[in-house]
Amino acid sequence: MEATKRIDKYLSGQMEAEEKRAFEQELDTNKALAEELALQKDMNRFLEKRRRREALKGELDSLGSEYFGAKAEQGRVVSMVGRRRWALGIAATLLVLVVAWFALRPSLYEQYAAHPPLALVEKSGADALTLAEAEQAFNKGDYRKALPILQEYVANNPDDDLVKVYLGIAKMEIGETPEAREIFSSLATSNSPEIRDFAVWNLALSFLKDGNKEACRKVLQSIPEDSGYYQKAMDLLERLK
Amino acid sequence: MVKRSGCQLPMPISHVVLPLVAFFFLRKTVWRVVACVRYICRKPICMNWQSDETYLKALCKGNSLVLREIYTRFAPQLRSWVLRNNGDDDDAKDLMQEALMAIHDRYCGTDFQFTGNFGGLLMVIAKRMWYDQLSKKKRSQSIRKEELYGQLEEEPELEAAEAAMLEKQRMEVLARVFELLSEQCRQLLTLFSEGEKDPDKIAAQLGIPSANAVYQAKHRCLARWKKLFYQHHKTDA
Repeated sequence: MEATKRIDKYLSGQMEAEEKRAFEQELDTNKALAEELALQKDMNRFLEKRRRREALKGELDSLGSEYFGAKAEQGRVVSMVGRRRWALGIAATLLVLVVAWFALRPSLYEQYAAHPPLALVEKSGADALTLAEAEQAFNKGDYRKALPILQEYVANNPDDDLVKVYLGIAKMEIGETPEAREIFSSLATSNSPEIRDFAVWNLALSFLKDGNKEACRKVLQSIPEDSGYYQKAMDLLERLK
Repeated sequence: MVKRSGCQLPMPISHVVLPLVAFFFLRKTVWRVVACVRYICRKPICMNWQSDETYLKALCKGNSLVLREIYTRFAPQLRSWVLRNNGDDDDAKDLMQEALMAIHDRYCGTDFQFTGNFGGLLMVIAKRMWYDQLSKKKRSQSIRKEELYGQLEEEPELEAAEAAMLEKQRMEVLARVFELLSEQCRQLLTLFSEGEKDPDKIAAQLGIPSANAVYQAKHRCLARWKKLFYQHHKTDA
């Protein structure tokens, strides 16, 4: 107790010069005193560093879990790293969902371009095999294959307006929208209401495919109420807003 | 519609379930990519390492970035050494932490001058600690201590390493027995260490009758702490 008191006085700088000198001299010879002094120094240091020491320990612990990876991978520890992993996982899933949404979402055009099936074979007995081929190709969506046969058929049957519309659709589908529009426009004044409505509707679709919403809207608005495409046209107008 | 008529799936499946399933199956790959990116980010390709003094300062004063660099630089080396010597990742993690704490305890706030190589010292402390653990666990009964330490003897940092380990052990015993002191003792000593010089204030705060009694209490607490230390330190050694 007495030694403790003296050492504490010495360490806290409360000794007079004389007393201090005597104390330091004694240290040279008194090994036990020197040892106690070292311990009390350490005790003071411990008190000063306690907070820092604990903070450092915590910091090293979390750094360790991060750098000695096996632990986190085996999922034994739910640390901050583990939680961050979960957050990352959820974020990644959301990202995938968003990307998938945009990548897989059919365009407005694709949603509305549900062309009625082509039925050529009933129309003419001649060259039935090639026509059947064209029909099949068209209905399967292989417009490139159907196009030349349709072109030939139209050349031979210039009065078959319905097939002309289909030819236009095939052109529109392979991207030749201006040519397709020419066909649709020329048929928009047809005497047959069936052909007219079909052509006008596809004219609107061709603008939609080009992304020309304004023109598409105008064409859609021109579709009369008695047209079979009126309801579809109104729907599409609503979605184009 | 026409284009996709062959394999059109209902919307919720194609847009919600499929990506989830894909993520589930690919999650390992995703983690690997994430880990790879993190590894690259962590590896300072065009950065010079900090000096040993900076490392020491980061240990003493705290600096997350520099501490991170210490791990980036030395953790892989230590890890592969531990794995080669009957240890696992957990052991390596603990050794790294303990060795850094030992360096902290030896050089932070003391008069000891740090000379030599930080990484070398860190490795020697960690190796030395691991050999101690191995011989304690008796996993290597057939290996004599001399053989264990044999390869360390040539390391220039060995002496500093042993001093650091001793210092760390002292600090840990001090920490442990500090908790055995009374609540009043702990508060009193903490107040003093935080620079509170006025004994009257301490007396008022802790409900001690007089300033004089504060000093008496302080010395009593220190003496008790010391006694506890000697008891526990001996049994440890």
